[in-house]
Amino acid sequence: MSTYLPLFLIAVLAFIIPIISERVGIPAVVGEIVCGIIIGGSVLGIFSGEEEGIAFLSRFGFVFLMFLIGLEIDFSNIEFHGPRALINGVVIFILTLATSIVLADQMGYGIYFAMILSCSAVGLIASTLRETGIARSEYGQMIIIAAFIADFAVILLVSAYTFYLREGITTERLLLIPILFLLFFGVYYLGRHLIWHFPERLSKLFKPDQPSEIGVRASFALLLIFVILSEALGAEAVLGAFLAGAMLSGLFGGGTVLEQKLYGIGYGFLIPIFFINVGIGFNLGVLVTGEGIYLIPIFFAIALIVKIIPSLILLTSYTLKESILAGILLSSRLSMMIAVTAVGLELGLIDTKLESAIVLLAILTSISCPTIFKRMWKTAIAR
Amino acid sequence: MMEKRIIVGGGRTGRELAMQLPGATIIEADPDAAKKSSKIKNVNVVRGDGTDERLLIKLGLDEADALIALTNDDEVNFKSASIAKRYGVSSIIARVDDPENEERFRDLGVESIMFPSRMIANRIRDLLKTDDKKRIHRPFAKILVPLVGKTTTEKAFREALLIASISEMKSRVEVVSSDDTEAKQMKRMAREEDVPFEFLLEEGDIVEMLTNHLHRADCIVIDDEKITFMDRLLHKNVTLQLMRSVSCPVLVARTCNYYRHILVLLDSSPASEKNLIIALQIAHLFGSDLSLLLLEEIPPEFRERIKKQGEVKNVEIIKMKVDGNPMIEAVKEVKSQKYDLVVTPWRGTGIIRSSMIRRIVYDASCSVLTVCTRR
Repeated sequence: MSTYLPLFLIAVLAFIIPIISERVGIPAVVGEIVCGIIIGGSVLGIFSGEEEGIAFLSRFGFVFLMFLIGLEIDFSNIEFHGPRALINGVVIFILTLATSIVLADQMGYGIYFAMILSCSAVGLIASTLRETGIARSEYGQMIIIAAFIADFAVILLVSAYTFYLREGITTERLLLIPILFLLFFGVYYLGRHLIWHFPERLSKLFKPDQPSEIGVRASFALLLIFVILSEALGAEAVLGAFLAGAMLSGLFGGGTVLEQKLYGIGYGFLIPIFFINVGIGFNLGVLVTGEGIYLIPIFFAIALIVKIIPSLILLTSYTLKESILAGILLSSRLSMMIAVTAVGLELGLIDTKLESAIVLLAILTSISCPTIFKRMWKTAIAR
Repeated sequence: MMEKRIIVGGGRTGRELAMQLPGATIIEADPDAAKKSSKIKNVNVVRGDGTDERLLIKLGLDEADALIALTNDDEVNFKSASIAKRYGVSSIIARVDDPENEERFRDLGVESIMFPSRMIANRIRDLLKTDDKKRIHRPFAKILVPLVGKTTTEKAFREALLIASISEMKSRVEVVSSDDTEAKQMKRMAREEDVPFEFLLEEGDIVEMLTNHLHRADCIVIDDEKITFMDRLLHKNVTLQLMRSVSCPVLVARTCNYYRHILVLLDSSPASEKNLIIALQIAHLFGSDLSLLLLEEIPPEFRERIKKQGEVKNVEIIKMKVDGNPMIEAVKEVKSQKYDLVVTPWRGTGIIRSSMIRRIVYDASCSVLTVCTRR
């Protein structure tokens, strides 16, 4: 069999899925996971996910996904809306985490599951708000910032936690994390310095008509430096990728041609492979035979509770309906949750049964929460 | 030792200048003008051609501290200036009449002074307008120059006077300071320009000054401040403190001269439009060209309004679209040395990071006007 055959099949699927998903009205990512489940071991068994090439591309797709999540962060939102939205977001996150820890403990799961529950889906939430036409309103911005803080905090917590698990806490190791962040700020300040002193040279990186795509090459180099460094320091590769993305976004702002090119590479090629592979690894059997299936409604309820209750602090400046709706929208979870779950599985913090349940939960929330939000928002406006 | 200065052209401006620079040498070709010049005390007048290299050398060009070319012929001024440049004269100033020639002078590396013809035309048109509503008013009614902390007010005061005096209805200039040693001189300068002026003695720090005076101003002008690395890191400096606490425009003065070319960094926010209107008023009064750097797609209605405003104020607007990264392109333009004034939003729609705006305010080589927009 040609080594390109699996890749060919996945490329064709990746092409067809968005077209179908749009018809059905689900996010393309969900379509990719569902498609992966169908072709994978659980149903048809065409793929094992361990094919040459696919396994690596999927892993790299995962890293690239985190890079793009970092890149999507819009720091100007926070800069523009000031500390209040930031404080709201942080408080909501802390309450979410606390509620999740309590509920996870009740169900007999550890702290890692609580972290998984605490994350959000900034991209999905932002696009839902855009569709509703309130992305630029103060309320919309507040929700986006809250979602961003949740995602950001989760990636930091997960890195810190896995770091602690792997190596144990020694003073040497503990010093390494600040080094990574110092490096981050060092590169950031260096970048700003370069923009001021050599704008002509840097301007080339962003021109649309660069024959050697020098900007894309520079971005890959930056991404990989951070990935390698964070691995060398014993942190997760995804943390490095995320920081590299956040760095690019922080330095240059959004909406540039370069960003579009990176999205093209990521969402056009690497990332669908990762999501399809997540579906391939999905263990439907375990979920259906065990008591796993009963977990889903409970998980779903918890996923909503841990976001809606903390959102009630918004009552200080918004109506009850607005606060609850914010909580519902913040309950959407997708890429980030799946990514964090993948890390947990790799480290043996969660088993395949729980992993499959979480993937299913991500699918459910990513479809239902934005839909509920959109419907209820429309009726709220109609009144 | 007295400084050696050579003035090429003994016309009215040349003579006026010679009176203020005792010991200067005037070169004048026209016999009548040369005769008039020779009546000035302490001035050495030579009849001859200012573009004659040998003559200039004979007069000691290679040792001169300054050459000022003031004839009404741009070509003559250019030639004398380039000879002076070749001989390494440290200060070369030339009069330029035709704006199209300005670029050449600038490429030569010469300080140029302009008597912008458009400025005079605009001024006359304003005077002719009997309908009060149609008149273009001064951009600011009251300009405040605070003297706080380590800053000085020399440049700030001069630039404030320039802006105040340029409109038909003069703006009022107020200086707030805890030190009144320069008050007399300032008063004299303001009287010369016919600008209403007040010196306010205020003991105390910036906070007191802010609460007492700053909120009543329409524009605050401050001097270019030397900011140390630590102050940058800790966000501790007067400029930043001011920009954060007032809602009126803040001008950091560096140019101290007519604004020949103004750059406006424009996004689609309402705040940005307000900036543009101020910039247009200034451009109208100074007869300046105005370059707009469009940082993002501007809605068509906004575009239409810009066009109209430009026509009303008779300002030539040069539009530039960003091709690439908006922030980098903005920095590139600001640093291009083409502009005398940069107008930028302080907190716009967030296309330019506020850290980069700070950098522009602190480190640009020309004056920078920022307008803080309150949420």
